[in-house]
Amino acid sequence: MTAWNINWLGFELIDYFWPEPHDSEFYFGETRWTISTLIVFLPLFLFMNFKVLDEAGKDPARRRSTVRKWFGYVTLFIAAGVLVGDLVFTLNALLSGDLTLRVILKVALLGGISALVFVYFRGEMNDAEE
Amino acid sequence: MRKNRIIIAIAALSLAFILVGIWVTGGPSAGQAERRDAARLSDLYELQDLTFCLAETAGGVLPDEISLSEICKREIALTDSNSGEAYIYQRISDRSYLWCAPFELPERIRVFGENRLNIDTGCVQFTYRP
Repeated sequence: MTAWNINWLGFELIDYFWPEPHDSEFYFGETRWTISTLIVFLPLFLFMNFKVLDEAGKDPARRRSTVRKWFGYVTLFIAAGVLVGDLVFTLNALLSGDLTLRVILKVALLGGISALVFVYFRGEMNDAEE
Repeated sequence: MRKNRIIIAIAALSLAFILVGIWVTGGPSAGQAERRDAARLSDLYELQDLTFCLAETAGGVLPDEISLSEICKREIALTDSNSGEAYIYQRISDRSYLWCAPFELPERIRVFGENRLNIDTGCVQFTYRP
């Protein structure tokens, strides 16, 4: 939820700061919605992450939980899929001549967030396997 | 350690986006101004309906001044309920006219269709089609 909304809000801000001539007028309603979602979900994400790491630190067996592994691998799969899709989109935009600064920034943001999620969960899965 | 850095990066990015987002959208006062502007725009469209009725009852001629008549009874305010300023009508040709309102953030207003809001004057140009 947090990763999705960071991207969404980032895309909104990129559209605002780097407008293109054919754009329709900017609509602030969506921006406010993503800000509100992030304000709620970011502390929740940080708290839950802290709690999970804390509990796993106290009891390493928790890392080997099947549900945890299953969720971790699904997230890894999704993050890898987004990264590959991002790369395909970038190449297609390049070949189509659509690789504007705005597209580059959006692709970089999406790729960056996906890479962070991927590296994080790969570390989690490695810990679980050890 | 690497996982902590990733969490900090995601949290920092989210926080930065939230702050920039609030700065761009303008906070609660801008949201209230947008809602007041939306009400003004809605009034202008109702005044367009009144203008059409007055023109129809005058034999297909746009009026020089707007007044509520017995035939064209409408629940329309000719003044902005927030600022108390009068909406301004201006006939610019046999088929075109303007309705102007004291918009606070006209650059944020989205007007669909053929009618266009001039963000410098706060006027919407309408076309009369008998």
